[in-house]
Amino acid sequence: MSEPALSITGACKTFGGLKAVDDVSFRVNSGEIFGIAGPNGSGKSTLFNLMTGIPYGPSAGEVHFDGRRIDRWPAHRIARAGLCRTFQKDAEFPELSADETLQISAVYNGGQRRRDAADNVDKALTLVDFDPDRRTMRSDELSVYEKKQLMIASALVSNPSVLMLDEPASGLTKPEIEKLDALLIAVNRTGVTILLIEHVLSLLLSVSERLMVLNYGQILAEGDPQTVVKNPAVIEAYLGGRG
Amino acid sequence: MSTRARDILVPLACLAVLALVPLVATESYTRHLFIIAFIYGIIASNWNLSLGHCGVFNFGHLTFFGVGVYTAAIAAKTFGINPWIAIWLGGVTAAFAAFLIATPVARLKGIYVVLVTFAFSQLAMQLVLSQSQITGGAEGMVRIPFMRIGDYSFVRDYKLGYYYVGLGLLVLSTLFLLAVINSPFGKSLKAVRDAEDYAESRGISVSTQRILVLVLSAVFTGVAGGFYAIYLRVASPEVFGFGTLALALSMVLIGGTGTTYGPIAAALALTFATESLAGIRGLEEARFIIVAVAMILVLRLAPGGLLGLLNRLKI
Repeated sequence: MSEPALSITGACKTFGGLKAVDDVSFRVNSGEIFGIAGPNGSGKSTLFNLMTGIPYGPSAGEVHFDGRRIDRWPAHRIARAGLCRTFQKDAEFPELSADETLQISAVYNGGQRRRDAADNVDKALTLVDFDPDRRTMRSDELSVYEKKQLMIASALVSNPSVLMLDEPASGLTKPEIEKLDALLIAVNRTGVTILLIEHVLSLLLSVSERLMVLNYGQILAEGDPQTVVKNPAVIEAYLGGRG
Repeated sequence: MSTRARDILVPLACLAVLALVPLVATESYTRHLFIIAFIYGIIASNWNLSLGHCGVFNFGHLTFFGVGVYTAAIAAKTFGINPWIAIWLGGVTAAFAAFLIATPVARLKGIYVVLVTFAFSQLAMQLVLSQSQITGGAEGMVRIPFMRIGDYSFVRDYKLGYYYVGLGLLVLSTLFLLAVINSPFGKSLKAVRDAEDYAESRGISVSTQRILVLVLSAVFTGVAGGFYAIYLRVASPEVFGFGTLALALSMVLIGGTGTTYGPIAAALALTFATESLAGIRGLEEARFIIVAVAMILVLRLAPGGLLGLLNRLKI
């Protein structure tokens, strides 16, 4: 078997007496789209946090990326190594324009010189189909969908090998979700491995090659998406209450 | 007029006016007020770099100024170093002091940054007071050598020379700040200020940027301190006092955090305003209360400061 892009072994995160992530292990293969689902509070975002070190690492367990153990690295070093994420809530640098946001990501995350960065900024914004007329506007003046495009583009501009998306479809309309679907496929075709946390199951099932479902911080099911969603334990977790 | 043209032409017009002021204001006192305003302008605009652009609540900024004051004073008086060089040494030692304070502060947040940086300023003052054989202690240092160019003495020209040195330093400091603010580093400071986690996720080390911004903000503040000591020919521990700190902070907040020229404009306005109020009977001591009230009103009604308000109104 080839070296996975990302492997997590026995990851745990505790907050006092609460185990938000409990002994989670999985692998993500290079070039795939790996979906993560689960009810609210199941530990999906916490899992992203401990993998990227933002704002904390795991309480126990190991995270390996590109053959290197990264769970003790500072967050910016993990990002520079090529493991880039987005956030569930709208994250933005309100005073910076799309151009400026991507420029600093290219320079700091991608280690690019300013002149090279300008070309890559163009490419990344074109890839996510960002409106050229709105590139110099302040980020806090953009629409919800444009902010999502910007957050993804600001990751792509540094040429990451793995992109971790935390509920990118939240707050979007149905046509926007369809555009996002096409965008994720297009990004994946450029060779970027994608981890996708999503509540919009139609999107998750449409793009994911494998799906993992979490509940109470533990893996409930993992495998082919169509099989996983028919798993009785998954149906119970989503529809049968949490008792 | 486009925003870009306005951003270039208005400061240039102001600079031209300031360059011509000594032709009109020929007496020493008015020129002295301008020189003090230039010094405050440098302090406030550099403080704004760390506070306004990066969101670091550094209450030890005046320490960098004090370090510059004593460095230049000791260099010029004790070691006989040319005052022109002593001024710049103030910037070097202030940057070093900033590095010392920044390293423990870089990982702190909120009120802890205020507490540690303020404690550092008190520590610096106690150091100056306790090392009286070097610093003159509570009495400070006097008769510090003045500037001259060849036979031209800066103490016999009704402060004309010092006026242009002060203005020149303000211009250099502002050009330095503009270069920093408009660079990717300057943009990264705003990213750190507004969304720390997002900044980290884009490869920006929050603690490194905080250390760098404190060091950079100290350079011209220390140079201003050096100039202050050479100009007044005095180094006194009062420069570490709360009064100076409060006045400089009010300039940053009233002028507008995050704006480039706001703190400079506020430094000019407040220096002349407080001086005018000092000349009105009954308001000699109340002037600082008036400044404090103005600061509270601005924070309440225009949190971005007066220049920030003008920018928002597109004036």
